[in-house]
Amino acid sequence: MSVVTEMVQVAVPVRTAYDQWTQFESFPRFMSRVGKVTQERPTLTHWTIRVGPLRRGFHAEVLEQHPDAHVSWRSLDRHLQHHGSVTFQSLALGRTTVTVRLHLVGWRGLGVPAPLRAVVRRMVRAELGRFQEYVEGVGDAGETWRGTIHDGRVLQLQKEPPDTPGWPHG
Amino acid sequence: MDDGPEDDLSVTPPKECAAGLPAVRHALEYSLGQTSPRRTALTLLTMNQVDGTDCPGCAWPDPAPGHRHRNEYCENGAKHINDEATSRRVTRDFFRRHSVSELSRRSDRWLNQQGRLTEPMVKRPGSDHYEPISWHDALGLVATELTSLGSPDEAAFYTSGRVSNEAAFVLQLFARAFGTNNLPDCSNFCHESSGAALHETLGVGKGTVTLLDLEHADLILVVGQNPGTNHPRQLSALEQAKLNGARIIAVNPLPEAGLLRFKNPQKPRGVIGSGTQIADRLLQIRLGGDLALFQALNRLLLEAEDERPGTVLDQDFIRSSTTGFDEFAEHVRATTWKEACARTGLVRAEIEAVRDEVLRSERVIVCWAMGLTQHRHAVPTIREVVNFLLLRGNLGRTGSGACPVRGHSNVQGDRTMGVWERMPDGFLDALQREFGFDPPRAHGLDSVDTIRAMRAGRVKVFLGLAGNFVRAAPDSAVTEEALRGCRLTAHVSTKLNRSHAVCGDTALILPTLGRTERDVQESGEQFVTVEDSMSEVHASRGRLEPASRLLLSEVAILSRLARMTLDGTVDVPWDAFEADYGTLRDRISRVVPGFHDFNARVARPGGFCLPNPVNEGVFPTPEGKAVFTANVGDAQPVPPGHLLLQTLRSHDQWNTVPYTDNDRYRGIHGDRRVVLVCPDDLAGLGLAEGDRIDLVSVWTDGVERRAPGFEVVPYPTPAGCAAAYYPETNVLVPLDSVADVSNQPTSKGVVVRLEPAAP
Repeated sequence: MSVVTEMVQVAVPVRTAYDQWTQFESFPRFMSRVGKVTQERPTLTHWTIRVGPLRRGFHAEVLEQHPDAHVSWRSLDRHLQHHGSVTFQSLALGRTTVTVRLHLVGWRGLGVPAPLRAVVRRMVRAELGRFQEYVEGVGDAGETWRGTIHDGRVLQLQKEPPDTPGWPHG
Repeated sequence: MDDGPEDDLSVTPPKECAAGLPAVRHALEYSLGQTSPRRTALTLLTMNQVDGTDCPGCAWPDPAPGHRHRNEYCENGAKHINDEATSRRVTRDFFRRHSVSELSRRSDRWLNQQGRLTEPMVKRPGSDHYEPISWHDALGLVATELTSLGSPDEAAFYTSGRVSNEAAFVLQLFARAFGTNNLPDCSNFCHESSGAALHETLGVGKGTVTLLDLEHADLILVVGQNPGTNHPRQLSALEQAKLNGARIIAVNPLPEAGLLRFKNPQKPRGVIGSGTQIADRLLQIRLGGDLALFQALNRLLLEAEDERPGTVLDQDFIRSSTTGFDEFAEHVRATTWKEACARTGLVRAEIEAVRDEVLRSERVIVCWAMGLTQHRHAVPTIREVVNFLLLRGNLGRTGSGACPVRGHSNVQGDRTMGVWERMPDGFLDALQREFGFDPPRAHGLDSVDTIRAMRAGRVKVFLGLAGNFVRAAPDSAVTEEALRGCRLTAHVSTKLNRSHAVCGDTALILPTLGRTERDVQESGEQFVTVEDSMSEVHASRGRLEPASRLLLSEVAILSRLARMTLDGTVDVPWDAFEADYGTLRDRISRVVPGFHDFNARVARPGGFCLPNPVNEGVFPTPEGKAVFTANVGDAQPVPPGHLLLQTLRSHDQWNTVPYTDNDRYRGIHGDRRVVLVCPDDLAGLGLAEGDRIDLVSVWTDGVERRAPGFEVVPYPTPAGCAAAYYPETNVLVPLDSVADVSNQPTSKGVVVRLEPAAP
């Protein structure tokens, strides 16, 4: 397995950084490689990544999500496997360190060659730079979901439960 | 019945593999026997596609748009849709030639094969023939009968799972505006037990998984379900799960072909290779033994936790999100292996092997169908399945959860739209706010209670929207007598079936558009919507020209009937609903939770998914937590010399409609009146292969229920358990033999004896 670790300091409070990052559907606005993200349920997102003319879609499961602290996920793509985490560390003067740790399992678990790891590292660094520019420019993430996910399960909803028919179905 | 089996019975070894090229051949053969190559191509290539026609067969979901095959259907779906699209027609001349009495002696297969109904027909009191009637007069007749009843509760309005969300909503709105909650529906026969158990333990009466979850599970238990025949597209999902590394355990009395191996005809390995093994283990369990199995399994998991604390159960989840654990644990620890093995027919090592599989798996899904729901202890059984899922936190996480698999395309949607005799006040309040009338609050009648009420003369008018009530219902003799005792029976149908031949003093056939047909109303071409087993709501559009110019859509029929019956007494825009189903969907969006922006959301490719609160960490039970339960129950006791019988479908059948007399997966050819018996039971019963017997069921009322003239076929089923096809054996299921709590008939737990048939 290969690990890529990159970090960026953003000039916004930790809550703003965390709230913006966890609005996954907004990623296409500031990440050039992300074509679309759909949040199907709190623990499940679908991503379309673009690299040049190539497109690849995959589902990602959110394993941990702790407000203002930490998000981790794993891809459900059995061919291109990876998992990762993002941590948010509050600094003085309303600044935050955002650290991305990406574990690349590679094509069907065969690992990732060094040159490709370097490419991924550069991509992650560049995307973090775009996140910094975006979140500092926007300055406020607005209303967002502040629930907690642990071990792939929502622990605290922090909002009204979904509106669904609440009677037995035959 | 005077049209007998197609051929003499021949028996071949059961198949060990489902689908493959034979499925394609059979699907095309049947389809081309019904209609032209052009129509066959149009129906098959638009079936289950975005902007296409939803298969009216089972409720298995479709893959996401962009991930569907060009041929996104199974053998049985293809047969079903072209059975509806048939070019054969039933005209007024047919009814002149065939009396109602004669039709009542015809087989289900023969009736179905006559073709599509083409115009409204009426059988008047004292007459033995249907004759043509105009729509205005037909609906006027129903309206007159309804308004002359002593009470609205003397009418019952039945729904079957082909009915769209729109038609179901109009039906329940009409019934409630008329003044009754008598809304029996086909799910009363099918997954009522699931809804009751899941609602009590999780707060939601539906499954919690999607296709994606199945593909990413570590372990899938397929319990009391035969996907190879009843949900064949599920095999594709199970195949994908296997390719992703999942293990599958099948729990079923019969070694069904689709549980063993699947040859996907859309993949090279399915066409020229050996296909994919489905079940890694098959537990051939006794009928009704599933409660004992899951209790034994749960006990083993508790004991494993005792040995290695903190490593087996999800203690955090149990502490934070559940209630009732201690009482459950104490109860299940007291179960004995002697009882478990006797009730399941399994040995301890088999159950321990399942435990070992479970311990190796982080994410587990349990799928089930009628094998669990159609027993008297069905609700406790499904509650115990929930206990099993709760123990290791297999709810609310990707790749885990509860998966009741519904077998009729919109049976779930019909209930969502309010077709239930016990709708909660919140829904009735919403109807009241939206439409300005006071819906009745007293609970109405489900299917079993409707039959009881018809028999007692308390229900005098029966309106059936789709389906074949008389053949879906248990205790056929009682049900038929009950229907014949009605003043009026009326059926909104596409094809002829026995429900048209077993009818009240006055009977109406109200022919309607099929799913495959264009539906053009005043505002233009319409679509309808359905909800599948995984709570995905999507559109369905037909492309074929209607079978007759005189067909009306279900929405049109119900809207006109409502207008004529209620005569402006409620402020409901029935005309607008008929003219433009979008206006109906706007109203639904304000009444049914989760359907906000219904028109806009359903117009998206693939529609939208109703969220399940369980997947968002919410259990809407009174306690606000998932509920562990302590469960007791067993199948009917079986006296010596008797067997426990399950009624089941053949492979060439859809619900109550047999297409042929063959069940090729089980090796039965040429005759449906067979009973599958364990070879070990034959000697003890003094029977041999090929013997002609009558099946006689045993019940507390002392009434003889007899299904005559069946042939004995030795079959690999557990000792003491037998199987025979329905609807022929529905006559054996006593009306009062129902599941506790859900009132669902126990069609897979019938005590029978086999008597030599009269020569």
